[in-house]
Amino acid sequence: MSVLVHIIQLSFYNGFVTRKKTWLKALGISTIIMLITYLNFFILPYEWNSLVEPYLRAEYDIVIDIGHHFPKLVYVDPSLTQEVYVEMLLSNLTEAGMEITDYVELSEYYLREYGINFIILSNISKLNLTEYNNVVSGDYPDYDEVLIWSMVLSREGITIDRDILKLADGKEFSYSGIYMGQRGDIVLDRGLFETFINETGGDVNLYRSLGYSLLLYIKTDGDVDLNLVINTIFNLVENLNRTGVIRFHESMTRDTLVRSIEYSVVTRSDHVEMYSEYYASEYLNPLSPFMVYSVGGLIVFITYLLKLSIDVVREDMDIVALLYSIGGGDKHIGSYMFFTVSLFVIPPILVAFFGSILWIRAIYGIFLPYTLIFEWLAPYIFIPLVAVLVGSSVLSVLYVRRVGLAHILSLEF
Amino acid sequence: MEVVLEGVSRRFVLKNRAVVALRDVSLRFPSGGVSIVFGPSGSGKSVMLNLIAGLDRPDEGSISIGGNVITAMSWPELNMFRRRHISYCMQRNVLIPRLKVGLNIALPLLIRGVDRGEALEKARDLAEALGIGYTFDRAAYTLSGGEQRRAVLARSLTYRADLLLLDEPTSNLDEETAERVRDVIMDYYREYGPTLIVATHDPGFMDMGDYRVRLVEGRVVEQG
Repeated sequence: MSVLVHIIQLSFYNGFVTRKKTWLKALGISTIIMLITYLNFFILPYEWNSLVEPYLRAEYDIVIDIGHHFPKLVYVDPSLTQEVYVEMLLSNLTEAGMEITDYVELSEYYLREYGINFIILSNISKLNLTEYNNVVSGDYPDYDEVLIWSMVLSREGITIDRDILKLADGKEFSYSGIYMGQRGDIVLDRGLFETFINETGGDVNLYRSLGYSLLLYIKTDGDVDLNLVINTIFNLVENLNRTGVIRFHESMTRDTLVRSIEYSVVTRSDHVEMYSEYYASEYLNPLSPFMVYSVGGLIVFITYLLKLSIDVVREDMDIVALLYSIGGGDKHIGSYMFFTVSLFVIPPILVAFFGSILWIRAIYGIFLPYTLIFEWLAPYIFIPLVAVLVGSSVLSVLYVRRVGLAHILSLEF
Repeated sequence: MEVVLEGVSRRFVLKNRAVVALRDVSLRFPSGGVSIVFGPSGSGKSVMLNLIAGLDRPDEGSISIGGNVITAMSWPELNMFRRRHISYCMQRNVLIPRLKVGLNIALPLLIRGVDRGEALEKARDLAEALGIGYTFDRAAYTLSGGEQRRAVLARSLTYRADLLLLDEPTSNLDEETAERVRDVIMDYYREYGPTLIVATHDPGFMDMGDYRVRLVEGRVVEQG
């Protein structure tokens, strides 16, 4: 441990104290690179912006995520379609005293059989969302009929090309546009959707019933009373169960249903946080613009830091040679470079990271949830750090082995 | 530890020009003796010490120290061997600029796991003996050339080595200081009895050697 302490001390002088100018340069460039990388979070259209933010801007007060309790119910009567259910719910809420002035439905249909997910946007025209024209391409003045294909097909034989959806038997469906979200979604109209489902052996009526996930955005004139909404939904579900339209899943207790409903009814601010996290976790498509841009930025960042660390290795070669000459081994040299480069790159990364978060908050007024920061943005710290620190340590040892200390010692003879 | 060089050659390419630093050198430095390597600048003295220290590899030939063929050792084996047996005062005054002189001198002991206090005490004794005790708590970059030279030398004398290699230990020193340095080196030699090889221009060392080697353009032209 004692040796390590001294190595760290040594590294501190050479990685930090004697390189103030380079350190400041690293800080500046790291900050710029990171800020540019983060710009995509706001400049490129993505689902969080397109699906959530418009509703928030339209000042809807309450969001009911019915999908959270749907899986816990078994639908006995197929006449209970989404439209019927929503109508019942709104009616019950009104009777319970909520003054509803507007609402929007957004539902996701998971076709588990095919590994397909559709999002059906209905009643969108009620919102004055001009931003949506930037998001959905194609000629869809009336968004009531828009379907968004939002997951990659997993069923064998179904392929999706840039403009064409192909079935195993060769039948093709050309679709109308690409949804410019982060998952490379495409836009289908309802007619095409129904044809596709029929062609693939599905039953359209199934998808016209209750969706797996249904978001209901409600605007009220009065105060928002979450308990009122929760109780109303619970009473509605219990009533449907009593009348045999649905039944509770055998694993569901009254408590789990209540908890599910409580979790499903949120205020606007809760919804922002919930969805920002949810969609952040969805950015796994390596070919999406978001990932290409982010990973590209990350690669540039790591490359830059590696170059810095290689410069440090090169500059410190006489010290590396010295350490070998006085009895140091690879572990000492590796540790020295590790800590030297640590002290050299960690401060710029941390400052750039937290600086950019503050920047996001200051410029856009958005406070990113902590979970989002640590789950999604943290790789911007950890990946470069690990790559650079390990890389520089290994590189320095390999460099010495390959080049030889005689060359490093300036070939004095 | 006897040091034996057999047919050692070392070539470099400098600015697209091939330079032969050592040509087919065969030597036998006696165990426990004082050997002096001398010759004009560029004759290959430092290259020879670098090779014996295991910091460089010959293009041809072999080197053995105390019967251990270091030219056949792997890199980690060589590192370990160097740590156990060799102390080397390089020609360049390489110190860690921002580190205090005392810590610079104590580094070899710290790397060997010696307690910090004990290491600094030993370093202080050596610094005092070499006349640079007053620089002990100063950063190394503040030292003059002569002070740096002595600090580098002190660093190589901090621990007991079986083989002590000194490359121009008295360069940049006035005669009085050089004599003091020679005394400290010989005190070390008398106390620990290592095989001592000194590459030098300093005539003050000539009388001390049991064995002398003269190099010219990488060849041994005189020995004995």
